[in-house]
Amino acid sequence: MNELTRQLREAARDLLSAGKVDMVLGWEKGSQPFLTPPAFITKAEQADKLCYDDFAIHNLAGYLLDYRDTEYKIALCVKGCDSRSIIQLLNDKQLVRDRLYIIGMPCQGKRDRSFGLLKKCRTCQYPTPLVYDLMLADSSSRQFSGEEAEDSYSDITAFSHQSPDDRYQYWLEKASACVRCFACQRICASCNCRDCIFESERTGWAGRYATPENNLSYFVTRAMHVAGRCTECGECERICPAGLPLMQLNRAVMQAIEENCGKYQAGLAADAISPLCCVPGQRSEKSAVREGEE
Amino acid sequence: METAESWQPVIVCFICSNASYSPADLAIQQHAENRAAFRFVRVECGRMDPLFVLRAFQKGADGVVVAGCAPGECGGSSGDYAANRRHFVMQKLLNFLGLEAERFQIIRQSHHQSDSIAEFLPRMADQLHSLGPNVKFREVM
Repeated sequence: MNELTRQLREAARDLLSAGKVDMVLGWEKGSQPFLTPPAFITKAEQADKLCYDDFAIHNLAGYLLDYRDTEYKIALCVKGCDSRSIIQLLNDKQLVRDRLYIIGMPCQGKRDRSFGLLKKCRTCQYPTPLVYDLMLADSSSRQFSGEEAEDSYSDITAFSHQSPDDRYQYWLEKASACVRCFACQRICASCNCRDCIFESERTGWAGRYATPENNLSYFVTRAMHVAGRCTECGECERICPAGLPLMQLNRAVMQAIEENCGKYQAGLAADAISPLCCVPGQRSEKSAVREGEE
Repeated sequence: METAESWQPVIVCFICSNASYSPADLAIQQHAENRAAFRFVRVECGRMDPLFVLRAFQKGADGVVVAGCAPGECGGSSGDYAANRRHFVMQKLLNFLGLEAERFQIIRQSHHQSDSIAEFLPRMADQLHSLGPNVKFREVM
């Protein structure tokens, strides 16, 4: 058992037995050495199940959406990349900060089942959580940081140079593998509509047949709905059973935002406004009007 | 039976009633009636959802236009700024997925200058004539 796991268990036990939180969201060791799935700990004596290692890939922020209408106080473990999702959720007014207790976990980069460093970790810019109430640290606290990518959108630009028909064929082929399991939508912390248009009873807008064309329009709609709010955690791509390159779409959107509205990354600063929702400088004016009305 | 010569592109125009609707209507009657089948939908540009555009392409549009007001002339207070950005991102994304740039276009129509959309719509019809019918994103039943 590593130092961080020991500290995590201790913190969870303290929080639960003192009644400060109703649940601790963390990771536990799975059935395989390379599996560390999420764990939902509600009793102090279960705290010994918790585990934190190189395979704790899951972004736990998305699970908070299941509890947004409850009165639960939840302690949650976050890595650097997950903390951006938390900030974005708070900015979207989906969570109440008082009902969260954030345990920051240092991260040395996560590994997939072949024990190689994950793609997103290779260019990681935020290994340390940006928001936390308690930060755990092990003795060997070496600073991890990904290589600085020169042009982070080089793959998107390269793809855009292909002919439109080739691009469409490529995506149609990819979309034909989609089975519409909606795993990407369920796992995403930014996908937080209460009633998803693709799952709702209303018909006529979103085609229900899982044809490649309909799947493609699902991709576009989802990418546009999380535009300006995607924090690049890469969970959609990781969870996709068909192995679709969904982050390419999100990154194409980000590139377009950067091109049109200047540099913007979601989930970095509290109270930041997405450039697609509001124009900077406008907010103060509007909120002043609203306050005047009240 | 539709022949190649008689084929006309179907252009769905999402047009804001504040500035663009009447000049666009007039322009089509005067210049572009025979060049394309225009379908007008009166909707404010801030209300535009990505699904509107996709649905138009799925149901048979060859081109889609979103016409809003020129910056600063929005009939609402400021929705057009953010809407303009969203349309731009949508345009880029559809382009990334392989839709030709000519098929989804945005125009900002000024109150003071009624001729810009009048030139724009016939020009787009010509562009779509040279591109031919759209098959991308078409719903296959």
